[in-house]
Amino acid sequence: MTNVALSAGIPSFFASLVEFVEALTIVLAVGATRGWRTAASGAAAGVGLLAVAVIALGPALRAVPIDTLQLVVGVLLLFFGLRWLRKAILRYGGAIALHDEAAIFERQSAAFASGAAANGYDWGAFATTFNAVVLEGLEVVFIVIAVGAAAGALVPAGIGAALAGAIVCTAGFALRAPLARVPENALKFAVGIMLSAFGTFWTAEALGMPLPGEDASLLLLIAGFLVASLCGIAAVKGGRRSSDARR
Amino acid sequence: MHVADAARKAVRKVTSLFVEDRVFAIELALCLAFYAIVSRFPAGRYAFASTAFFLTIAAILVSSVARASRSR
Repeated sequence: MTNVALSAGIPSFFASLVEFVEALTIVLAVGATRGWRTAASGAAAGVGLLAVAVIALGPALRAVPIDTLQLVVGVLLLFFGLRWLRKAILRYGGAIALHDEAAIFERQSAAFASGAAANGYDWGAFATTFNAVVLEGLEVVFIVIAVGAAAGALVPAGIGAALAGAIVCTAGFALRAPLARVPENALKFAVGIMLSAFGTFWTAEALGMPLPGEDASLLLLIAGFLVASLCGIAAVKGGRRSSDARR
Repeated sequence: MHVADAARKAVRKVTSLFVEDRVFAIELALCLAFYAIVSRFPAGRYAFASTAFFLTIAAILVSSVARASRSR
């Protein structure tokens, strides 16, 4: 596998892992309380819709000139990656609570159990799993297309996402429990750094600003964002300590 | 009406994929606009321009998380 394929496949795999774990929690909560058939059919319909989006958008992007594509994708990746990174930093710094899949599963299960359909097909349960898969999957589709199209490696990016989906589905349905032990924030932090670095790299390239070291500068950008993020965590923790001391 | 509501929700969801903090998004957009102009000049063709571009983004990120943690 070439470096380009790896650089598209790895962020796509880890980002998809995070999103699939979040979608799985809702599908499991609906399945456990309202029936597995409805939960699975809603999820399958969501996956089908996302697959159509990828099949339709992927080839269409080949018609866009590479400079324009890199600029658009670079800017979108910057906004998207920095949003993930910002949230992960705030979670590590203690400003917002860590994502707890087990607690979300309990909360969702209680909510779905109280609203069970009396008779007929449970469209509410179908819509819930469909929405969860489509909304979480939308981020996966964006990452696969963005990372894959700008690097000319849509297939490895798609394989990364499909592999993550297969692992999460197999583990989730074997355990019949949310994957609470997946280090969601660590993954979000790592993927946020990678996507922000890719976004900066492609935006700078598309604007015609040469990066020192050309392709190797991607590693420098990753290191730079890691240092900036650690400074951010320290700033959040420091701010919280001083506000606690004032109380 | 339902279609309009669904469309509004879909737009809000897609927007929220990229923008969470409005100030942060505006700062980032201004940074991109500034460097898009800089890159049109000969000075923008040197490596220090892209280094400054990265440092500006990193500074925006750190200041944004510091601001968010103060407001919580």
